[in-house]
Amino acid sequence: MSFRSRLFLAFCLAVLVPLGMLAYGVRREMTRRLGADDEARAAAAARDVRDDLARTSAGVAERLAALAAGLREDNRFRLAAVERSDDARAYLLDLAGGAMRLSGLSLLQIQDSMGRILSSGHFRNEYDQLEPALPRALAATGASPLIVRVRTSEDPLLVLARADSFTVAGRRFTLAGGVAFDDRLLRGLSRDPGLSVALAYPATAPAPDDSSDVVAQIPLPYIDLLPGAVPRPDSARLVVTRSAGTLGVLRRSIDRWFLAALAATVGLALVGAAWLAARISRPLTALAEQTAAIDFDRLLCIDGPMPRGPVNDIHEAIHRMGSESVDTRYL
Amino acid sequence: MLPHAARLPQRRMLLTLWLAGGTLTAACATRSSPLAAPAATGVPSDPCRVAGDSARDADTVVVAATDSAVEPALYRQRLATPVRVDCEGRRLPELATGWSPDVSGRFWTLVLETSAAELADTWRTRAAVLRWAGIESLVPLDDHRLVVGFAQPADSLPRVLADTALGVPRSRAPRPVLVVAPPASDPRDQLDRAVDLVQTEDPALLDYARQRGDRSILRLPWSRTYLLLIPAGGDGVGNVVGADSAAFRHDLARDAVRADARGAEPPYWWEPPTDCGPPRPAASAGHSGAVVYPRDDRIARDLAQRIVALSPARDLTARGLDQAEFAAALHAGGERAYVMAVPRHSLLPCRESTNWPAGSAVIPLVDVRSSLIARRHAPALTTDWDGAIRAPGAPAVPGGSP
Repeated sequence: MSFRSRLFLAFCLAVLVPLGMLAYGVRREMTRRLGADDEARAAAAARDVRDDLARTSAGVAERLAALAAGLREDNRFRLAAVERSDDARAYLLDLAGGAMRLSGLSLLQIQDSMGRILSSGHFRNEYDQLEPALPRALAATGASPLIVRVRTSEDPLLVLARADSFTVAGRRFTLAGGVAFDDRLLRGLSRDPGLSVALAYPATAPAPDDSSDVVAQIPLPYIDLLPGAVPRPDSARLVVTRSAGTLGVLRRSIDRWFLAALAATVGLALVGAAWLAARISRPLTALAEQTAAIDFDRLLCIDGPMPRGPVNDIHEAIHRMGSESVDTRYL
Repeated sequence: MLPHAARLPQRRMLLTLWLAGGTLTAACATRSSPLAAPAATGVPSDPCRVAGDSARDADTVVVAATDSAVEPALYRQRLATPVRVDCEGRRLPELATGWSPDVSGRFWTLVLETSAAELADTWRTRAAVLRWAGIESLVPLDDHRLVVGFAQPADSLPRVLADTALGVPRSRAPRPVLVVAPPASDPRDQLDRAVDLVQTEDPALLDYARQRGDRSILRLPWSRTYLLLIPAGGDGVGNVVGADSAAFRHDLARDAVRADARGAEPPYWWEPPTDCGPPRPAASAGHSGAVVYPRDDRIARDLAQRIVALSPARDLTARGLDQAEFAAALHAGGERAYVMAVPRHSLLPCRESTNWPAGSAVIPLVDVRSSLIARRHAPALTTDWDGAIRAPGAPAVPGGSP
């Protein structure tokens, strides 16, 4: 192996080892920081989802309380629901529909103490049907939001429901109301564009629960009120997932840039090492060439000035040695 | 009208000729009998008048409607039928100024204002209508007399001759001419505009009219019946009617429907079933497995939703289809059930039921009627046998069989 090659390898090692250590360290630290930030962001998002859910639920409860206060004072409701006045019956049947639209709800049912539907906003013509399971489940969950799957005349409706009750003429009535648990609500819950929120409930395919993409699972009480379903309290889950590859894309992007920077640095380092090796070894090479070209037989016969440099120095040194001893050897 | 004694020899002669057979015989028989023009009798107070001040002479009446209820009136304005039948069942002249039967009661000779041959030719292009109407022969006797042979004898002129399916375009619309107002997104706009009449079933609009106080409201006769049609061999909708079907229909009319409605009451024109010939082959259409109804029919939607609410079937839903989709779905017969409106009275039952899936169970639900909101001093209108409004046109001269 030539001297120049050995120099080149030595320079390469001197450049690449610290560079590699730097790359490894920086990448490791960045990954750790990113992961930690992501965890914190996910935890904050899950907290936000819980807060938003609680806020939405409280909003529904406030609207129901206002409706209940209005119905308590409503004479036509009293005539229809308590006195069973035929004249006010049409008003009662249409009451929930109008109130539901005005209050921005997606579900509204007014039931008597037996669970008989007096008026329904989302399914006007289900009046007089018995559905005691809904107020019972809502009473059991209290201030917590309840996910309810109810029947409408067309497709089933999934709602975040709350209940309120009021008394008129000594009779207790229940108001069950809610907002649709639809894509719009779910999009509103996931403020972070890197996270998505989905509801997994028994009627749907189960959401992945051990996936590394799942950052939080929020259990919610659930009841299915479709005909034929067993109306017993069950559980649904609000699954907060990291949008596929958000962190991975970031990591891959950083890795790509890092590799590009590393490749450029290594390339430059190799070029630099090659240049340095060449630079350092060039005088020695020239010396070796000149040394090889010396005709020791005529070394003392060289007349005239030699160019300055190491060969000249060597020439002069040999000259000095020649004047002292070569004569003895060759004479 | 001819005295009874004077008609006896003619009847004997007609009977003889009839036994000799054929339409020609009957035609000859009627030719030999002098036709009695329908006696013109004054109508001091027309029980069929529905609105306005008859003394006022107006060229046009601006009519608006919130649904399709006004369509029969527009058909009648465009098409002239041999006779018209008023709200009391009286036959009144239109194309035919007179009519008389032969002794069998099957052959009726119409005295027409127009060409008998042309009318016969026009009708012959409508083979299905003639079959549904039970008309077996058409023989023009001369320019203005047409003998119409029916499959079944009748004591009085068959009312089917008042159906617009046998109408021909009018040369001149009867006065006042009904002009349809442009549609409005809010039906109350129609009342706020200078519209003479609004025909509606919308209780909210009627309430608005009452509160305005400057309109009179008149209830028209029951004109439509809503049916639940369940195709044979399907899943059906479960037992939604219950043991007391009258109470079921009454409850539907009172609570489920937001219109002037009552539980459907017999007689129903589809009972007993009429032989309408071989059923049409079923068409192919997508099936949704739902109770379907015409999307723009609010009453049908309410009824379909009530059927769904009462049904024990877990997967049953109600679905609105536009008119063309509904007609195709009905013809295919693949849905769980159909909710639809049919005329309360029909002169051509086969026309109404031709699209029904063969063997379907027909459950009548409710009868509905619309109301007429009339501006004060609006021109007078009358109602026909089916509750449709019409311009009175020429003075109503009751016709009758001699």
